[in-house]
Amino acid sequence: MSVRSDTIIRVGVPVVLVLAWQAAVSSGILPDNYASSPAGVVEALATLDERNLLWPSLGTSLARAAVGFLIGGSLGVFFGTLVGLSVRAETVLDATLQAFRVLPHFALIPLLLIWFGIGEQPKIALIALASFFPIYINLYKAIRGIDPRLSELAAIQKLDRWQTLRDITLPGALPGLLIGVRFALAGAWLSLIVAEQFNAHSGIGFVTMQARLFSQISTIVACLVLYALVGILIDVGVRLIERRTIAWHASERAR
Amino acid sequence: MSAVVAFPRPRAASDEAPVVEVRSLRRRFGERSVLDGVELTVGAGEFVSIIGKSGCGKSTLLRLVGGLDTPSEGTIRRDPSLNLVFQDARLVPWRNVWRNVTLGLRGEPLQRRDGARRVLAEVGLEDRIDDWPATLSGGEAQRVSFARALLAEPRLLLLDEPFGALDALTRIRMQNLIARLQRDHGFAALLVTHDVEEAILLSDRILVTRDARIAAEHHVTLPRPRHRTDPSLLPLKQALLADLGIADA
Ligand SMILES: Nc1ncnc2c1ncn2[C@@H]1O[C@H](COP(=O)(O)OP(=O)(O)O)[C@@H](O)[C@H]1O
Ligand SMILES: [Mg+2]
Repeated sequence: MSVRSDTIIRVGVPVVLVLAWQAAVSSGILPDNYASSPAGVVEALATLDERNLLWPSLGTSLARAAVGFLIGGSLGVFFGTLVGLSVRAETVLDATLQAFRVLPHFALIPLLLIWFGIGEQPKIALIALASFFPIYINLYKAIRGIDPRLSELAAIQKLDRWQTLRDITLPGALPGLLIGVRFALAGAWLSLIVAEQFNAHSGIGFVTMQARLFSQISTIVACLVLYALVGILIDVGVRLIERRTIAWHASERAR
Repeated sequence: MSAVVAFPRPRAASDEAPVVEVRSLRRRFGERSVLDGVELTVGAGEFVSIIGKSGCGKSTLLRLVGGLDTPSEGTIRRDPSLNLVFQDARLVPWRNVWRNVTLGLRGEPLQRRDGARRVLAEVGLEDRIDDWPATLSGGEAQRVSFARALLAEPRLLLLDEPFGALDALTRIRMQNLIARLQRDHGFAALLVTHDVEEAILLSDRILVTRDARIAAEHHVTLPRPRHRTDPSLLPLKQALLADLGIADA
């Protein structure tokens, strides 16, 4: 199939679905007070903007996700690199970290609430947890998965430790790291949505909660749309970064 | 490393010391000795080939000389300026051609790129200087790895079946290339191959390995340049095949 007809289908399917949704509501097949409608959602977004709630709420939610992701991600990079490079660190740390991983991190919510109270901290902690593991695991595995024959090359070319890290290890592990980043961002966003369900005083979650109290279906769906759009934007962003930073990878695959 | 701009050096007296001296070398893997009692000397500028059956320890010997492995017994003295060309070109996939060539070299990027350009020109790949390794053919990739090995002007080049993965025609071109490079740079070479003709065309001396040691030695006195169709190669070819235990009916 040609690239063009591919694109048409890719864009066409959601457009048709949205039109069908609108038609179903307009014709009365789907009750309006149950599922809202595309027009209703747009209207709700406009109302949120009028009440000066749209961008500030989005900003608050994004900031939460970003802070949590940065904390969890940095720790993931640190421990992933450490455990990837050092067999001793692996012996000491990996089993413990893996044991934590099998526990779904949402199960920790009650503990986090007791430890951190009901402010920003438990939300950030939850998001950080969700960001940590994908990055840790993927980076650690990527470093371990680097072709051992390249270590021989490093020895023959007399690379020192720093040069080996810079020219072999880190760039070789970059595709793995970026896969981890993608999973971590998805996890961070999901955790944000969950975290905002309990006791938020600001952010998209807060708007959703208010809308639920007043049974404003359109506003709730509008918030869902916001969550989804940001999720898509994040994914597209990471793909762009991937394409820019690992150009060699594309040529490798094209073989 | 100061060898960014490196021209073939004039031979000084100290350059005439052997570049490899292996004494009573043994390498065991578990119970089995893959190498046992190997003695080997390679003089400065000398081209030595090692042929032998697959699995008889040729790569192991080369890795030991290259310092990638340690002997179970015995001693190895080597010129520290050595480099090794692997059978696979072993380019770093995420570094473009010139960064592969200058891997491990310090200095300004522009200066390093110029150094890479110089050696790449020698192997006929100047125009691929900015390309990704994945876009090179097998022969081109191997030429880049030759350029990388030559950049720092080593006095000893270890070659482990460097043409083994290439098609017959590319192989012939590469053999001519290595002969030319050796003439121009004057490095000593230790070449592992199982191609008898290749060994005869390139070498000053051919060693045959068998039963974990070097079992036979042939000096090749034929004048250079040598041609693969030259009938005077035949007697040596027959002798080598006999050493390898292959009856040439
Ligand atoms: N790291 C290793 N561990 C165990 N056995 C090895 C190792 N490296 C090589 N060998 C064995 O040593 C023998 C010689 O191998 P090698 O030097 O690669 O032979 P070749 O002459 O074909 O290059 C083979 O039987 C191989 O299985
Ligand atoms: Mg071998």
